[in-house]
Amino acid sequence: MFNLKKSIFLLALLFSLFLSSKNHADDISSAGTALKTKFESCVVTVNLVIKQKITVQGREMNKNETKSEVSGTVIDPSGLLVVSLTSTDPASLINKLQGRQSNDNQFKYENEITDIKIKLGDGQEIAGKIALRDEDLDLAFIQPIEKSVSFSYVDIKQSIQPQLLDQCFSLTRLGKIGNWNVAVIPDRIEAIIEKPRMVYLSNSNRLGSPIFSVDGKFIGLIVLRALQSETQSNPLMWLTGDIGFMPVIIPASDISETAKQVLEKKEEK
Amino acid sequence: MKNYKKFYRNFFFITFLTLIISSCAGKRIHPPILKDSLTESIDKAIARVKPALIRIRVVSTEYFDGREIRQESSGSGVIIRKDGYAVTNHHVAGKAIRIICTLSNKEEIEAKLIGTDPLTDIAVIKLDNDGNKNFPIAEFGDPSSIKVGDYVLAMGSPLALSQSVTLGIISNTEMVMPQLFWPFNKFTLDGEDIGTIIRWIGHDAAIYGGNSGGPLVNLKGEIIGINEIGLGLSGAIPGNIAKESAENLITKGAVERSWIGLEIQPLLKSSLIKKGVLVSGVIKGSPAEKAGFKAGDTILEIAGKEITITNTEELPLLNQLVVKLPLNEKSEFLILRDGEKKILTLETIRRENFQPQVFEFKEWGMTACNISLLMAKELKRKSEDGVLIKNIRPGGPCGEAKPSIRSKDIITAVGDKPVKNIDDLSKITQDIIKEQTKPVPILVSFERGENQYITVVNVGIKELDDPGLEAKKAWLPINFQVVTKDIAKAIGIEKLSGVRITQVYTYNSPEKLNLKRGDIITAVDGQPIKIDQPEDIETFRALIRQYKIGSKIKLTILSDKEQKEIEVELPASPKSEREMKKYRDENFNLIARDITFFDQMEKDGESVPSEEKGVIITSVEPGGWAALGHLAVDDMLISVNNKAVSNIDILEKTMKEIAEQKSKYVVLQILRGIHHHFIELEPDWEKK
Repeated sequence: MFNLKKSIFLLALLFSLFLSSKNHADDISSAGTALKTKFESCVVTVNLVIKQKITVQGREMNKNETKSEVSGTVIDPSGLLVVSLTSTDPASLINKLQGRQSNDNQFKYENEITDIKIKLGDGQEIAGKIALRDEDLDLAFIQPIEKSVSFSYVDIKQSIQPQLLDQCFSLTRLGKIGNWNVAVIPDRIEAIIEKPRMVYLSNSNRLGSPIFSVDGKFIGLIVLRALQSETQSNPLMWLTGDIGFMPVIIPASDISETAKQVLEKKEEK
Repeated sequence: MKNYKKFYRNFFFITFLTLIISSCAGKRIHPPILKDSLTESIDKAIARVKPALIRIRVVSTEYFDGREIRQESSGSGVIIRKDGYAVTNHHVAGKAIRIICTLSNKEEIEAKLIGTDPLTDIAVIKLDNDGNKNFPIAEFGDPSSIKVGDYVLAMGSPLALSQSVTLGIISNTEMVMPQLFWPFNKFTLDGEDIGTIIRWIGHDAAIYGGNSGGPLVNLKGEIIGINEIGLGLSGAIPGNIAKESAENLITKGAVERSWIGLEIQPLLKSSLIKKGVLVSGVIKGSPAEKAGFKAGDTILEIAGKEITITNTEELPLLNQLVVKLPLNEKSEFLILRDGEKKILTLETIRRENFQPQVFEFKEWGMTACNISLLMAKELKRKSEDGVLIKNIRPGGPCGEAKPSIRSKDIITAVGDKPVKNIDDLSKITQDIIKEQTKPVPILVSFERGENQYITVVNVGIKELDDPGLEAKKAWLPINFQVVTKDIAKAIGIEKLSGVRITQVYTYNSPEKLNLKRGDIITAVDGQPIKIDQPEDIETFRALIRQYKIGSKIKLTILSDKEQKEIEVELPASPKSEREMKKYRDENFNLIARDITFFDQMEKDGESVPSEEKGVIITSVEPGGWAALGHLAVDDMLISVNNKAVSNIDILEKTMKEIAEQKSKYVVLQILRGIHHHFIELEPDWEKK
């Protein structure tokens, strides 16, 4: 027999579940929108011209130049921004994966940056230069050469250490194909790796993109962690899973510590 | 008496026998030897030509990615005049900026380019002749006398070896590019289709890379061709064409030819016309168009000479006739059109090379050239005005402009100034960059196809100053390995965990670091090091880097099976290669840097003895003087012209002195691995 009370109760339960999930979705949407509004101008595109040099047994081959577009995060009102070092120096990743030592003179593959342009959200382009490299943390700090422009920046002192499965967002500056818009990607902290140093793992993999907590605190930056291979690279590594690199999130505190070396030098001047 | 007779009889018999035996043992009997007339002819031919053979080493320029690139290559040549004129191929020496010739007696002599003709792929060089030297020469023979089956010698320097000879026979006297390879059946050099006026002498004497420019010689020791290509069969430019081009290049600096603008092909099989040659096309604005030629006409006579062309092998001969028509003069053509004969009078014009010289414009980040008449026709342009972009540097001013300027665009104006040619663009560029310290934005007009565009280019060179600083981190001056479970078990301490020291660096104050190879670090500041996989090596490094520079840490170590605690102060990590002071020498196109701490450590695990100090070469640009001398990246440069160079400042000072003095020879002493070498450079200070 049809039970009216039970039916009403079930309907009410279903409706409340629906409402709560909608609310949750609204929460994520609001948080993401707020982050985008606050931080999108801090995420910039960096256009690089990279010269590739190959040396075989001491003999230098003719160099090639290529253009590259990477994502960067401004961390200081002076315009100092940070990118993943690998994105500016792909040769270092290839050498690591192929087990090539830095003193290998049989075959050397090196990169040199010949031009840097910082492209702001409004389309303005400003010339830049490399201020500091940190190979250990996979960070490169870029300074604008022109001082006349004011920059929006992420205050890396307002940072947070996330817990496992905490919700987070990454902001990514899409390239030419996305008309350089900013994408807001909801995510979670999927792992906290403590060795050899503290890094976090999420699904986001666009190097140089900042990661924020739901309430807008800076968690860190997406960089590439790569292991120096002991042997020649495994050509089947994509099938066997023997991949020696992985995008990870470097904590804000580590970025801040290294950035001091640039900012303190600036103050001395 | 009887005994004496017997004695003498025996004596003479034994003596006779001895003589017979000794005469047989002392002599060999030879059959008669027949003379090999072919071998003798070959020897004579080689003896006649070999002294005149030269191995040619060339530094030439190519244009790629908006830059002028230098390249080294090698080919062959043959001296044809006693004062030092020699013939080779255009593709060997036509773009040479430096030529070094090695004679058959191993003497090295510099040479200069006199002239070059891409259409016949012939170039002429002249060996430097200070003291009116008489060089040995080879002479051209009469190629009309050659026939299939004749023996020939291909002489030259294949693979940059010293003068070499291969033997073959003439396989084909009318070799053209095979139709089978269409559309790849053209041999093009700098826009010129060589096969339009050349029918190669095909032969089967082996030729290899480096043989180009060397002579094909008959058994009389005469040049009958200049080796050029390999298509399975080897191909030589006929000697008469090579000789004619060479003589023009020597006397006039160029080969003058006529151009009429007609496109011709063999008579069609379906045609009822059995004599003449078919006009397939007439180029707009050409002398042929002005004379009234039309596609479909049949040419019966040119300047009174009857013509019949029924196959592709005959076309080059007709083209040779056409290019030799009197220049800037009228010639009569008897044609057949719609069944009627007509005479058309045509005035020839000068045929320029298709591809003018290319120039690099560093301030624009591109390479460009003028537009030749033939190029303008191909581009369907009425005018030759403008500058054609050959290629651009991706990150250079042209590449970065919005919209960017691309390869094959034609710059027609800069600002309000028209650009008709390279000279115009050069002058305008000098005006723009004069006294400017940074790039100048300039409005540029250019054509792309049928469209006219404008853009803004930031003209000027801007060097990016990469300070190359690395983040300073705390460093423990040791190298180490992880103590794995297997290693722990093997050394008898199963639960041992930590890192084993493999190397101790004597850095700054060696006596303060009370560690040695073999010690095992088990804890840092009381915290045990819990690692047992080789990959964990980064964990220990990262642990140390997290300390501040100058921190004092306590290491718990196992040394000679005895546990100790040692205090260590952590210095800053030594400077990396990137951070070392550098010097760039523009004359020799090399870059060097000061030695790092680790460079010295690499040598033998200890500090390098003082006499081994030097600077490290980090870049040797291809085609530069240092590259020609085979200076290599990672060489340690110890001295220059006997002056020790222990650091970059001394190197810079020494190189500036050498440049001021314009030293004829520059001797570098280098250390490569464990081997010392002297490298002798001979810069030409007039050419960089």
